[in-house]
Amino acid sequence: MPLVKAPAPQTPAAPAFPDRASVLAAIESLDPSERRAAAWASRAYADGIDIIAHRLAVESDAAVVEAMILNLVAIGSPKAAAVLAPLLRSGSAARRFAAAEALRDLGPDALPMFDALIRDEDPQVRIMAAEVARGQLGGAAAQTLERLLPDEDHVNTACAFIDVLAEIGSAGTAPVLRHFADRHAGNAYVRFAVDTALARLPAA
Amino acid sequence: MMEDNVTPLRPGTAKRLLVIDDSAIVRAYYRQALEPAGYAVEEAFNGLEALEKALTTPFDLAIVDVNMPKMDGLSFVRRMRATEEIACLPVLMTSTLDRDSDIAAARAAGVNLYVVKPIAEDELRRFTHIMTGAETP
Repeated sequence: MPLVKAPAPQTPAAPAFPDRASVLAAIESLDPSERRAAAWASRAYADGIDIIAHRLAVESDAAVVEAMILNLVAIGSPKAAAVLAPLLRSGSAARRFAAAEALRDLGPDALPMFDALIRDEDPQVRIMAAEVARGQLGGAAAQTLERLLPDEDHVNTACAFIDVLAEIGSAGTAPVLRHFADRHAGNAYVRFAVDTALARLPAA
Repeated sequence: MMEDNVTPLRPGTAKRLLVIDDSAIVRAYYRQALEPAGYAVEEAFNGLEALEKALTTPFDLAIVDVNMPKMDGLSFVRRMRATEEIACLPVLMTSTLDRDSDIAAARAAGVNLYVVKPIAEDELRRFTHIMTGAETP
């Protein structure tokens, strides 16, 4: 699945749907191209997120999923973020990453969902949530990662936080990273990750 | 960081590795572990970039992450196995994903060896030596 970005103003040529009922019918069509067209048409309706969400939960066609994700980003809102969030648990790596990128593109609308996902009990979800922090969530996301890192017991999750903090952290991130490295002095990878991140942080 | 017990390859036998990971830290970690052992390391940020590089440069081993933007590791391996010129490139997959289903999916895609991160440097070199058939003095 390609990198998810906000759709360009020109949408693909789609069959005209005269009303909401025809969109609802098309999004359940056996023909993936019809479902894809219906995903694009959904955003014209006030309940476009609901229309997409209903089908997204069971959709298996990659191109249709991509169209649905693109249109959720285009519609925006915390509600769109809530529909995207479960995809971080998908068994498909492509779908997980597409959802993370879409949440990233939603910017501040994704912040409430980010705050929940980054504390999820599943470390793999926390790792994908850290990817969301690379986006436009602002300093709040970096501060959240800094707060959570000291208590993060799952080493790969901690390293994902460090990886993201190397990109979005500030000079104030450095003491948090050093403290974490001191606590895991016996772990060569943690030490390397922290040293590399420290070298990439902006100077104080 | 460099460990003291690195055994470099026999001169003239350098193997070429393609490291595919969206994390700059992970790529740097692999590079600093493998280059002193005599490997030539090329990096790719995602599966798409890796496909382009693999099609233009012969490699002896691809070390591949799973979660990456644009093209994930499993999709990369599937595409690679279906592309005649690079179908036989050995793949060491490294990932944070540790469920049986993740490992089964990797095997089904055509991965030769699946290792859960983080990997110790000596372990990484050992797997790489084995999978490339590299000769040490």
